[in-house]
Amino acid sequence: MAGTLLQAFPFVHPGLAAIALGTGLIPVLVHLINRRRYARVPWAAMSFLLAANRRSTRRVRLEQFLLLLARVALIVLLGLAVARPYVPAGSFLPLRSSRAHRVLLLDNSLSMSARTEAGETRFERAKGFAQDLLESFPSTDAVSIVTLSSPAEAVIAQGIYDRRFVKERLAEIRATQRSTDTAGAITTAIELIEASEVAEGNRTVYLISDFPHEVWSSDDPDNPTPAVRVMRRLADTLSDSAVDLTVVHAGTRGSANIALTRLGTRAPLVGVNLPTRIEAEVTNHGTGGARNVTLQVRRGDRIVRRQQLPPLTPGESTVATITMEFSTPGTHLIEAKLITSETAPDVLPDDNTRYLSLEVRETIPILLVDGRPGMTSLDGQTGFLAVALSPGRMEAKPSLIAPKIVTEPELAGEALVDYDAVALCNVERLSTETWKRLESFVGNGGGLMIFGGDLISVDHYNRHGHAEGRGLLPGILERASAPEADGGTQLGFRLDEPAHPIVAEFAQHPESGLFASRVDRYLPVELDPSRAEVVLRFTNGEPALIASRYGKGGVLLWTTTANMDWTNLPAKGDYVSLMLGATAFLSPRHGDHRNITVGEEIREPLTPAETALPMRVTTGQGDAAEPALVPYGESLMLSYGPVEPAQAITVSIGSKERVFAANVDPSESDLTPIDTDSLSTAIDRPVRVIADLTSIASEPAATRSTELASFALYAVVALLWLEMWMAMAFVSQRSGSPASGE
Amino acid sequence: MDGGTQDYRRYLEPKVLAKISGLELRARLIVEGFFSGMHHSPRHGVSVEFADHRSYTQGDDLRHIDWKVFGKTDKYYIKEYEQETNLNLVLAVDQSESMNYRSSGAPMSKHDYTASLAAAVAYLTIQQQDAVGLALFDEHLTSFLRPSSNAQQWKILVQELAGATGPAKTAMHRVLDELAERLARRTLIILISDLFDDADAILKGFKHLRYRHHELIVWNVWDHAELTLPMTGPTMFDGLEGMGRLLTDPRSLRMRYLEEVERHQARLRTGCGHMQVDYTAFDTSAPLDSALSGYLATRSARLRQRSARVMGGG
Repeated sequence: MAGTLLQAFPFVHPGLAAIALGTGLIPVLVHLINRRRYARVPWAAMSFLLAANRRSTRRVRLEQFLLLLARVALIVLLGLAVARPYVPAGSFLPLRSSRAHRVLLLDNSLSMSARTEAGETRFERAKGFAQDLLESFPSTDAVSIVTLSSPAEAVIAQGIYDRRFVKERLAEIRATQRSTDTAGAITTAIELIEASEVAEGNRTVYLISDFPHEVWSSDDPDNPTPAVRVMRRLADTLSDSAVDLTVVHAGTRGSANIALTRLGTRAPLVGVNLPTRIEAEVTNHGTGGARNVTLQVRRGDRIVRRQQLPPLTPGESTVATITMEFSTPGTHLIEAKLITSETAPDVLPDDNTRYLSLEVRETIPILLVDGRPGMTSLDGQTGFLAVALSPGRMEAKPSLIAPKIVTEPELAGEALVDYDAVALCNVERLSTETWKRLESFVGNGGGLMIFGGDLISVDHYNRHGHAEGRGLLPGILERASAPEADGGTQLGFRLDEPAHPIVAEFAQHPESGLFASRVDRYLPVELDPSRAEVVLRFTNGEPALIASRYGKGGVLLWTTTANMDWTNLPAKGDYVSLMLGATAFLSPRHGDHRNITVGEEIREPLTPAETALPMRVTTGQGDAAEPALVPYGESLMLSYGPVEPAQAITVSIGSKERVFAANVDPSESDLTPIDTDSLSTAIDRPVRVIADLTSIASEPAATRSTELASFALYAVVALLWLEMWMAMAFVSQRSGSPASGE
Repeated sequence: MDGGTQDYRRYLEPKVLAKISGLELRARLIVEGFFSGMHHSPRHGVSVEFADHRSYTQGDDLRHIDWKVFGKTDKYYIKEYEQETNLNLVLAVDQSESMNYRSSGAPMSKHDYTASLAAAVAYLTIQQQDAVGLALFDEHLTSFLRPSSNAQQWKILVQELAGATGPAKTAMHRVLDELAERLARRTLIILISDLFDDADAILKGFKHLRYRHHELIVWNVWDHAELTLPMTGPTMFDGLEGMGRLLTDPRSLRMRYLEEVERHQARLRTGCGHMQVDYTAFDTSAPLDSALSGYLATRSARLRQRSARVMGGG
């Protein structure tokens, strides 16, 4: 019964309704308590009292019941009025509509800056839709506005009734070069709806966007795009909350848009005076062919390339390659720009320019810890490794990678932060303090290579290095064993399918020396499956090289030796390639963090010495700004932003300059809108779609639920009067004039 | 009226009277207070008051011939006086448990009020040379003192009145029947009771007494609370005389209760009127002089009727 009633009259605040029903017991309890608290008097004229009671009982009980009923109803109705009951849609009651909460989700991402054939941008069109919607809403409705550009932001969080204020805030919203955060916007909308003060059922979310085909198309219903998956989930959530979702389509067809979708280098390490290939990818996102497009590349202030691109059909991409050498270390700025024909203007020019910040290293310092140093450079545990990392070392030629060999006791005197990576080569054991230093070093982004050998104390490594899964080692070491010959075949190396990126190039070369190498001994490992990744195996299937991540850094575990003690691999030429690949894996390319997307913040970790230096940010427009310093590990980090629009930004720290590149999200360049039917199919539910202004003019003012709080309050006032009248009437009726005495 | 007179009249107020211990003293003070308010005392000339002359007839007592008139007219006339000395008064006082009730604001219980009233009337009666007796009752006649004008009679009577009430109920009809059987001569009976019994039964008892030619004055004594039911809020009424209990909100019953009381009083008043019985309801918070003046008025009227009968009937 109560459930049926609650379905018929749900509440905006159901918790308060439950409390209100509970408070209805208060008059009953007061009545019962009063019945237990009475005065006691002896009485002589009992026969008259009993006779009066016999005559009055039924009437008195009825009066008391009516009074109690009025008091209970009074309190319950007052509580229910506060809990705000409403009649949902389809109710049997012929009630008029009441106020609603309308949430406008306005897409102001980069793709909305595309110009339509009418000459206005998609954003201007969408804003016009939003203004028309505002006009169509009854003045009693509350309005919130959320922008879709990443990160989604509630411009008006709480529902506002002041239309002038809403229109002013709407007018202030600008188109951005940021990507779209549909999920964030709808999540924000759900939060606003949940905090809404209006009745369930009277809440509508209007999503005004251009709905790019690439983001929303879902040809395979069972494998939708991430955006569609998010949208389906959120649509379900909205539906569960009885929220209407209305889609306002602001996209237009027939656009010409060519975009620079990538600018970067694939080289793992960029060093001084080393040839570096820069790639620029250009895609035609337009509906027609793209001709006479010129790519212009600048390095600093100098144009280094200007080339005509081949004609591109719709959807076609091309990659232009430019090889450069950098004579000085530090950050270098590359700018690529597309110059289109004036006869075929690009509707979205903001995606025609990209910037690249490239960190050029003079050296990559690596610390090699030798467990048993030898007499000559190739003796000891680290000799072959040092040569492999720095092939010119023997001839005293300069090399990008600069290995330094120390013994285990000397390791304590080294500042690990000065190195990109540390290699432990057959080191028997480390002090607890050193293990902690290594954990901190790797956790903050450093690299660690561990090689096996006869000196290794397996128990020590497992206790301190693995530390029951909390340490650096990706598995538990077992004692070294000489593998049994399998049918007379020597143990060698083999790759998994598919090959790990570190060894991927060997997969193309089965004749490589790697596969001809012999292994005599190794340390078996019981891997932690959650974090260990096998890069290279022995031919018996046991892992030879294991990679894992630890904090921000990486760990590589070689189960055989770095020298010729257990394997002859170090004598092979491929050992050099293998070690360079390993170094590139452990030494993530410096400067990647300086290439950000528009809307993100600049973040530059500082050394303790740098934190005291003067700092300044110079934007692409030439404006200077003070950056902020935020905690980063044990030191500080420079922070500035969010950065917008796309530009190159120079950060000065003392006398050094570092260049940052902020680029637009390439996924915003595909402007092809999805049609409304496909959108409904993609979201897998019927969605009300508004595609033109005329239908907005007739946006229904009626809402689904009708609030009853005012009715309840009227009833409370009426009951209050009724209760007072009944109390007075009953008392005056019962109090007669005294009987005669004398 | 001087200050002394005023002081005496204070003793008619139950509030003042309640502070005086000893029924004997209380009764005297009531009478003093009562008479201090009159212009002349009825004690002067009582029992010697001339009423009328009539012609001498054979057999008349020669002591009553008015010789002054014989000297003037040479005829024998007999002097007639109001006959007072042969008034027999019996005070029938209710001693049932209900008489012990005293509400929280009342100066004295109904029993105390009744005893004071009875003692005062008895004192006044003895002072007027009349005979006074006492009948105490609850369910039965518990004590009976024959009327006497002896000076000691009053003291005995006061001692009897001072006794406590019992736990028994009132059974008026039975008591009045018993009383009627005890009284051989025509007697003036003053019945002082709360009359918490069935009105019809009470009136039946009155009828029996009147049938035996007894005069009857009924003083119905009420506590003020019994006439107003002033309690507010839930109240548990513990009935006296084994009448049970009732938990109720008195405000919700007040009107009906007062109607019941009024109906009971009206029934008694009407019934008494038909039988020429004086019925008066008293509130224990009201002064006592009205009772005494009522008694004296009744006594005078009765004597006048008797003398009229003497003169009329020869």
